[in-house]
Amino acid sequence: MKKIGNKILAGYSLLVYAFLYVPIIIMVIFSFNDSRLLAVWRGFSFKWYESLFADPTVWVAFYNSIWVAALTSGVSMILGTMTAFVMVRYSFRGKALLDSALYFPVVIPEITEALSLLLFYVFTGIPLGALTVAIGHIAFAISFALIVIRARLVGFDRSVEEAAKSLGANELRTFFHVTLPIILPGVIAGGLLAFTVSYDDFVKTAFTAGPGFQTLPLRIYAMASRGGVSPQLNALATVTLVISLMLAVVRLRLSKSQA
Amino acid sequence: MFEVELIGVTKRFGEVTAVDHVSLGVKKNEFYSFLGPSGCGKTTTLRIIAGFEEADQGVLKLGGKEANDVPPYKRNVGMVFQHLALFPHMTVSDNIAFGLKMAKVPMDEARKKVRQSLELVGLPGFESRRINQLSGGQKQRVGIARALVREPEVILLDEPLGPLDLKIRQHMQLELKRIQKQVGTTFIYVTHDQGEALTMSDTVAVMNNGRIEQIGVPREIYDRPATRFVANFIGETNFLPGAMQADGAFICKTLDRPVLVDGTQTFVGDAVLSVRPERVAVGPSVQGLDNVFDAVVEDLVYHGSHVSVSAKIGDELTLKITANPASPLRLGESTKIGWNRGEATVIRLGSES
Amino acid sequence: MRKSLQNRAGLLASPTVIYLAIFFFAPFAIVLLYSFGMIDLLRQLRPVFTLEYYIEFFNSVVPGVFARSILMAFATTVACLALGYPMAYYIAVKSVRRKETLLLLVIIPFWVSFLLRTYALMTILDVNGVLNVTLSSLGLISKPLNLMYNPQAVLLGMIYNYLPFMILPLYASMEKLDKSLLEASGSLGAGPLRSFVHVTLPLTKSGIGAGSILVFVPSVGEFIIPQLLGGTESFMVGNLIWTLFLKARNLWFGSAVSIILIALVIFMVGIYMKRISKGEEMTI
Repeated sequence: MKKIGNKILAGYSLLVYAFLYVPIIIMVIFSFNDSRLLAVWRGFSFKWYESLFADPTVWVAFYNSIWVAALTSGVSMILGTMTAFVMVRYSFRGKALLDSALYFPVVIPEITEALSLLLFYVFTGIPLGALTVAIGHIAFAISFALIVIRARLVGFDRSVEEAAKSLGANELRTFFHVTLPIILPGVIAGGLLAFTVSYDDFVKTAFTAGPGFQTLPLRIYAMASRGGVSPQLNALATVTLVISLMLAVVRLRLSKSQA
Repeated sequence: MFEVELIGVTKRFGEVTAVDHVSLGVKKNEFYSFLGPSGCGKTTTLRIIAGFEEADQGVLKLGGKEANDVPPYKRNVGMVFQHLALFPHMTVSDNIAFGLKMAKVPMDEARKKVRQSLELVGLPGFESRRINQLSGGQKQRVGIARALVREPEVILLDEPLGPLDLKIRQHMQLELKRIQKQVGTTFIYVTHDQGEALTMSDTVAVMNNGRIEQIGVPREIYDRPATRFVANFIGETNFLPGAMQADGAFICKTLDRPVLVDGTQTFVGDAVLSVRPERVAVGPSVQGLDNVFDAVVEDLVYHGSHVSVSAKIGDELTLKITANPASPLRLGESTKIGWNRGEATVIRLGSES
Repeated sequence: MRKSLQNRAGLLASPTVIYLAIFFFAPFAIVLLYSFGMIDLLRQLRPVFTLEYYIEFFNSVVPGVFARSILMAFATTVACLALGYPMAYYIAVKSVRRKETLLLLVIIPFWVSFLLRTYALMTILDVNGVLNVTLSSLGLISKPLNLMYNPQAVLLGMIYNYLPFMILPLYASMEKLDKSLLEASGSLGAGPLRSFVHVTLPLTKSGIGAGSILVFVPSVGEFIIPQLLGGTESFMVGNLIWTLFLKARNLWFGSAVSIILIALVIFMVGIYMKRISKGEEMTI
């Protein structure tokens, strides 16, 4: 009786996995469809990818997505590391308050954050564009990077720092020669998470990009909401997906590597 | 002049006083141990000397100069950490050369020193090994080499042999002693293992509850414990409560006769007599000893190299005795036990913390 | 030395604190000001205070939109719980050999953004999508089904995107389950169903709570899914805010709506926090 129960459970789980993966797999498969109609399979073809790569506006969107994500990632890594040190190693009045404040960006609905940024720019008169997008991404991503870096720092054995000091290294040299190399995988993992969060972002970007600035998610949304499904969009979505997955794999590798 | 001197050093952590008015002096080239149970303050005291904790009260002097405010990287004090704290992202030679790098020693000279120190600790050729490739004992030696290579005046060792297997630990004890003698640096060694402290040290400071119980050479600590704690912590002992009299004899409530003691204790008042199990004779060999009493053998446990005897004197007093396994004792047998006056120590009550 | 440590902490933390103060918290303050009409068309700060936009809120259809969003969020949460619980149970308790791989397979969808996943669903559900084409080519239907632009499609999309958010916390709480408790329960005469109800279910309460909050709270403000998959009947708070700010440019009313949404979120999270701290007192 137990065995049948287990089999049912296993079968059910398989169905759920199928539910989760089939749409994505189908989307990827039909991006190779040699047909203007999405779902009528005509044959295997790279032509949608070719047209994608030949389209300069796609490259611009791609470039924008990448450099905003890179900027977000860099700033988040630095600020995230500094803040992680403060939260893990120091105690002070108001620390609990700061801790809660740092979690706000993660908990608050994205759309409220997006609109608040828009109003901020409207009120201060800052023109919308690449910079306003990056600013918004960074404000959001710091908290994410912080969570990852902080976790790495909590388990850190400080006796290596004391050893360095006993050997003549002052605070700064101890940090650069000993602490930083050891926590680096965690810092980079945090940076990659920030990169992904920025790269995949849609709602905040939509509110703060203005008319002239486009990223991959913005483009995907524009195409999907106007033209509906098409193999071309499938191709674009697949490319975006592959990059997301590659980032995630690197992140996974880094989080597994522990000195 | 002392190499390291503590005068009235006190350190508190919140409600707890970890180090309580500790004063001691370590001479140059000494092998000096802090011995005590966990939580006695020995590690905190060591960290104050290293500079990782700041004393709340009192003075720390290094090489005769006040050093309370000197940061650890400016003290000429090396440290071997309890869990070694080897830099995991560096090779053996990078670990050892780190201190030289901080001192801006030129590379070829540094390389030579690294090689010499590896030979000193018995790991020649280990330069390019990674830390995770080393065994426990090997890591120990690298930790020592790393601290030694800068040739500091003092090296602090925080229970460095704790995590090692027994055989390796015993071997390393000899190695450490050899290295210390060869290099001539002052070693300050923290341990809870009294056997270790007694075999390796020139001077032992016994600590308990943040206070110094006794400072002396190993023999003195063992034969002439100054307090109950020391007598009990080091080896095993029998405690006979009683009092010292004006005539120089020790009266024990549970014995029918006064106990003769050596003349070194000249106070009058409550005291406890400490006599170690191996110093008490049992059976026919008590002939001619200073203090002899009738006893009944209550318990006999065979330990191979010796026999543990529990002997009851009168109604209340039971002594533990370590006897030769060849002695012909039987359970329940009436026999005599005894010791010479020099074998026991009188500890004045009220002299402990 | 104590003071210099505090100074260093302050120094290290200040860039982040300043950045967030300017670009995260100040914007919310500005929303608040707009909602009370204290900033005018010319972007000047005025010393007026009005509740007219909040009053307008209650006199409009917006509460209905909120109600619909909350209902949708609730339905999503319940569905994710029902669908996800057996799956989490299987991975945590029953699967022996490939637990790590199975868990990884649940995490991978996390790495794909909501936008992409929702589009993938569109690929299937659309009038010209895979499902319709396959069904009609098999002769099962004569006219393509209108599977999109209705509340059902939105619910499906919500469940599809949020399911991993429910499975992972459930898994975490089940992982900690001591299997010998179930054996003990069995030895005391409880059959599998009763053991489940009286032992497993209560012990996984924390996972249920965490998963529910992780699904419910973001769902209320969800934008992408109802926008791409829904029609006019599925207009949710997220869509409303989008329209108010990016189409109608009604910054003041939009701000009032947003403040109410934020208040709602804080309220819900607050209740959850209170619940967990209470629950912690009651556990052994």
